Amino acid sequence: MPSTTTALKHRIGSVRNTRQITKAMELVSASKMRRAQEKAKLSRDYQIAAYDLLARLSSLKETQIHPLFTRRQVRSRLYVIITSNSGLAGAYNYNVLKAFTANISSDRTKGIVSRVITVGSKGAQFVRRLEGVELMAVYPAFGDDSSSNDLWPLLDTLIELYRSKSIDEASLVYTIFVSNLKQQATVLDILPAQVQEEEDHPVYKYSFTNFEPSVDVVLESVAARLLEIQIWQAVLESLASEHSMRMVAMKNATDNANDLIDDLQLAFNTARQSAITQELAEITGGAEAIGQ
Amino acid sequence: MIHFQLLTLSGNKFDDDVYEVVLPTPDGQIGVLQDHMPLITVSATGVISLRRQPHDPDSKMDHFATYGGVIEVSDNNLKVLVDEAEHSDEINEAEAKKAMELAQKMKAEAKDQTSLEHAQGLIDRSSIRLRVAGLKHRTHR
Repeated sequence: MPSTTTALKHRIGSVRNTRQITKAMELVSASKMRRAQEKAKLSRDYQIAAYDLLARLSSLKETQIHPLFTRRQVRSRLYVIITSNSGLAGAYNYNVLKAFTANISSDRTKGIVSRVITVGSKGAQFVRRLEGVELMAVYPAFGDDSSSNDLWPLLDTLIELYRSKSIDEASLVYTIFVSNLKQQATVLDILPAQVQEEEDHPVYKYSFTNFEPSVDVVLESVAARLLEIQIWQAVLESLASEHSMRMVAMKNATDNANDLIDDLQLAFNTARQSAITQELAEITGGAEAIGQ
Repeated sequence: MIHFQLLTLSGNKFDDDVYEVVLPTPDGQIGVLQDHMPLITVSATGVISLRRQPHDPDSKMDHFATYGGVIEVSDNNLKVLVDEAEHSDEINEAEAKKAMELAQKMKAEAKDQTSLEHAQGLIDRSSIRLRVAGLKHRTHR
């Protein structure tokens, strides 16, 4: 049966090609993940120092009246959703969007309007189809070589929306990189820029600290910077998670391709052997017919 | 001695005990030594200089070019949070000069307010970098 064996041969060849691609993608993602992790590590001290500063500032009376720190009645909430531009990353985008939809349904029962800014086109594709959610802006996903300066357009929009009272609260929806095998979608409130004191992490309160030139000027400069670092850290964590999840997804695909090749090879061998046996039977049958 | 940390988004540029740090603020330069009062202020675009030992001459000081951030002093700890900081050794003077010329050309050709401001920002940046690179020269002589 030559037609079956050639067909099987073709299939084995094409699965092998696919395996080659998934294997390459796995390796690329692994090295990109390491790079993203290292990048996240570099800004960690800065982030911790900035967060401490913010927590201490939150305890001051003066911060309560600053535009970026005041709490007001929530009528509309903005979600900044960090997703990827490309797929084939397992449940990466799905998990983030699931965390987001769980939040908007609870908002809806409270009568809060949900607005969305997405980072990455996958998130935008999803949000566009949702009803009752306003998609305000779409930013392309931040790539591996992006710097914190690339955040400024997003940051400016965010601050402008908050100051003009178009939004009363803002949250980041992103993926925390827990370990190479565990990534968790999470929602983090970023505006108003108030930090609640945590029990396991008491903050050092200012009793007689001087502010130069004034508290307002310091707050003005600090608030935007602290927002920036929080978003930046979220971007880096998401990036590391994306690569890690893609790596695992591609590893699974490679394993599946291996199994498939084994099965096909077995089927191919069986088909070839039966073809040979049949041919032999025909030859011996023919020889016997001549001999008689 | 005072513990000085220079933290940026691309890593920690300095983390050690020093004798004195001179910082740029909007109201002028301030010097921070041991037992400085608690202070929070804004860092301006300029040069951060530090002296490690009390008797070090000016030529042994370290210099960083920075472009704005936050300064926090408490309990003999000095934390400076800036987006970027460049040590004088990291700056290539010829490159900085070229960037300066380019920025000046951009300013001359600027057609609207935004591009003018952008060009002016680049000029300010380049002049700080050149200043820091110049300080290095003096040190090496």
